Amino acid sequence: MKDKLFTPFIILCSVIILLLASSYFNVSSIRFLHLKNIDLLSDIRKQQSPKPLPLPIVEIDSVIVNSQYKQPTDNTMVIDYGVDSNASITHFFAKLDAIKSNPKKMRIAYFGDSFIEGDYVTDELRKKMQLAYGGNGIGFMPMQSIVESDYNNISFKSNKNWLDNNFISSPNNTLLGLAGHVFYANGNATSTYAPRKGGSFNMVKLYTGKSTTTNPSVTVAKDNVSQAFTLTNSNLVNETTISAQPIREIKVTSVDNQLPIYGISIEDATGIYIDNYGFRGNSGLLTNKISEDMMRQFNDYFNYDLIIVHYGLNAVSHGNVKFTWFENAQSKLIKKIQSAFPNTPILLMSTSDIGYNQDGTWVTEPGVPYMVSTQRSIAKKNKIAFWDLYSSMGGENTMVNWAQQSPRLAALDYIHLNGLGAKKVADIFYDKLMTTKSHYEKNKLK
Amino acid sequence: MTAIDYHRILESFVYSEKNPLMFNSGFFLYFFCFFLMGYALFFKTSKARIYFLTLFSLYFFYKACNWYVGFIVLAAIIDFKLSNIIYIMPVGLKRKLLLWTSIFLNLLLLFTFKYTDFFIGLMNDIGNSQINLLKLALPVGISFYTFENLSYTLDVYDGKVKPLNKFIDYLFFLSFFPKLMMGPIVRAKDFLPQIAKKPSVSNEQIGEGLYLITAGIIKKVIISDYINANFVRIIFDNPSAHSGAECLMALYGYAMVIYCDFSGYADMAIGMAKWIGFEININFLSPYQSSSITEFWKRWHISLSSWLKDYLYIRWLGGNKKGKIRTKINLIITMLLGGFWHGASWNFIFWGALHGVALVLDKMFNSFFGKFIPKTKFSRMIGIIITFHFVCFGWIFFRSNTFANSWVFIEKIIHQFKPVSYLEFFKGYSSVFVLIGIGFMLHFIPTRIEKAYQQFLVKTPVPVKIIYLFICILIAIQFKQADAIKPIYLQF
Repeated sequence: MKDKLFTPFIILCSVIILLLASSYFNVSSIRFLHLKNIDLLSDIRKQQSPKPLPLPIVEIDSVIVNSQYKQPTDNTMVIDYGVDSNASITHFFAKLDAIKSNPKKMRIAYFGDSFIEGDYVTDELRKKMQLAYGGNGIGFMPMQSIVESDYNNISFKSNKNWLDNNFISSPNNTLLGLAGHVFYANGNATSTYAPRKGGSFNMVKLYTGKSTTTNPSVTVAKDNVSQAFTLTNSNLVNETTISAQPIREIKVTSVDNQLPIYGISIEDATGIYIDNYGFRGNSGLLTNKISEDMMRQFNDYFNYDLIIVHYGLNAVSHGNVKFTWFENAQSKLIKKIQSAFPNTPILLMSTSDIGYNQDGTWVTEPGVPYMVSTQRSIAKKNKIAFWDLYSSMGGENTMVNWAQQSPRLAALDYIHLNGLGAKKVADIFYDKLMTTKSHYEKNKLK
Repeated sequence: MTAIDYHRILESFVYSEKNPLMFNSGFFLYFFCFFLMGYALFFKTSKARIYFLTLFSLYFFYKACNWYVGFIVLAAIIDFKLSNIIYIMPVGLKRKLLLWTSIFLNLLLLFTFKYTDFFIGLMNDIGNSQINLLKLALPVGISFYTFENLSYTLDVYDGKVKPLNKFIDYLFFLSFFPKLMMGPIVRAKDFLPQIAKKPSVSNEQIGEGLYLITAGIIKKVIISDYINANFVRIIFDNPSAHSGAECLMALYGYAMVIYCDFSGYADMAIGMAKWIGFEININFLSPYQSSSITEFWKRWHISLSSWLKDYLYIRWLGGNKKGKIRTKINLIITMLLGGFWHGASWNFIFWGALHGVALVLDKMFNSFFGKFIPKTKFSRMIGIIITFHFVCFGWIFFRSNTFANSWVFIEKIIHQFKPVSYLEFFKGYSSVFVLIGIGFMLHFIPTRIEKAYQQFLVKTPVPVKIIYLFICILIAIQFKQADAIKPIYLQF
């Protein structure tokens, strides 16, 4: 038999020649196939310094004409475009100072997406704020969640017997609460909450809707001692205090499939609370489905002192640098919030950095700076406060570095944070918020 | 396109931490091509051929893991010397002592790099010690060549293999680059005879080699890497953020990823060896077609399982010769240590023990009920489904970052299965699911069709072979550079 010694070499050599030749065809022009160009020599070509992103012009308004404040010039600080209005963030800062000497309750609503779902970011932010301004408790908690085990601060377990109507399963349901959910018992439904790291729950309140059942009730077991609570049934949202003594564990049980339940609030008589309203996949369009009535009713109980609106992650798609639809939808949402929560300061937080895999190398998604610029413009037009998270966390390629460094700060999708990253973002935000607070205090002109 | 940077050409010959050499690296194409040319030229004299191959193998190893290449040379020197002394020494305590010295030195090398941190961590957890972890990088291929060394010395000791006279031959056997990094674990008695005789490259070997190389590219780059980068690793990284449906699909995906990754690499190795006239035994035999866990271990990573069976289970533990209970214990110990071989963590130990217990239960079930179960296609199918799902259950522990995460993963599948939206779930991950589906379809293709296809490739003329490999690499490059898929919960 004849030896085919050279045949493998001939095969491989010819393949390499063909591959080199195909480097000269621009296959990416065949659009519908989404092909990538081939360059067998990319590893030995002269490295170009990375193409700078065609950045949109970011205006930093150093002076808003006739303002009573000198605005911050550092674009990692919070800038309030409504600084002279009744809903200025300076009122929030003033209240923070006031509760230090005269303890009262303050509350922040944080609307967001999967970036904060499972108490990410808010956990650390709450910890820092409560350390400075008092408070004991996580604030609002749903009855059931797909990220129950993610809650770092609280052991949260439902028996999964809750029927969860939400933004996705029933988007036109007018009974959806601020978190985008309303729960009904489907058989014997229970949710158990306990502090994970010691301590106690000093006060727990339950939020329910209108039931068609007369005298609706739930059973509440506090440290394993059960007690039935008959609930008010008159309003769209009803508040019932189900515990006012320090307890180590609370279990809420409902068997009433007609009773809408929103969740509980774990709090204390004074201090500051941050309610996490993260809903995965939300670009803010879904939040707009909450009825204004619902917002008002909740605010009757919660009296929000600040509302954070943080979206963008789900609105950036590759190849897009124009976000007019987002601007319109977001403005609509802001107007609704302004009308439902009059005089409550609103802070629009920009999207974080987002990684994009460009031919095998991770870089910042090119649309991100455009989204940040759009968000700034939304804040400006609606005269609310704005914080540029993208620049503050480090700007271009930050998420890439966070996902590749050790220890990692981001998830491997180069979009989400891990626990460490969430803590870091909260720390940066708290720091910038406090820097802004002292800036506005020092720079009141009139 | 920018001009060629000559400095970067030179740089590409040096080890780069960011870009170690693998079969799927761009550099490897040139490396292998150049190697094939040289090999064909040096083929005539056996001596030149061995030196050339060894040198290339060591360079390949250097490009893959830097100066760790020294360890393989060191291991080769020790084992070559000791085996030769053992061979001529009369039976007795001294000879035994030398064997144990060889085993000890081999395991010492493996333990130092692979298991030190695990035991330091264990000591820190149990006692109150606070010893810092060494965080040593694991030398590439060490788990494989340590086992090859051990089997060589043991075979020499047992008189099954006559030791080699020339050190270069032994170094060649140990460092043979196709199997160096990810196996298969080659036995001295299978490989050494091939060094002596003048190998020839036949048309069959070229066709079969092409089949295996392309199968390897499809498995490793197109199926495994894509599913893993875009889906599996993201879900396993943080199962608590995902629904049970996503976790379950990630598990099926991982079953494909680990099989395609491992067997794809082995296929490429075996295929390349064929192209230079060497035969390495097949390492995977469509393992998910197994209808029992015992059969699975005869089809999965065959070179490892047969190594464990011959040297650990039979030779060391006594196999089934020490009574029924000892047989069962031996089986569990073998699998437990086999699990530990895969990595230094409780996850691997648990995974190994799980398979050990399953093997024992399978044997018991067979001896009690085996005769009552009719051998029909239906019963085989049920067996395949059960075995596959058991294996998948094991993969949860094998793949999870931590032991706790494994349980979160299981909890998600059992209690929180429903994704936020089924429509988005299927739409968002469609490309991944299609690839997983294709992977399983290819896996269940009957052997006779596979063989027929191989024969077809053997018979095709060289130009067709060239076009075939070219297209295969083209597709692989497209997949390698494909846009990342966004997690579905980003798309509402």
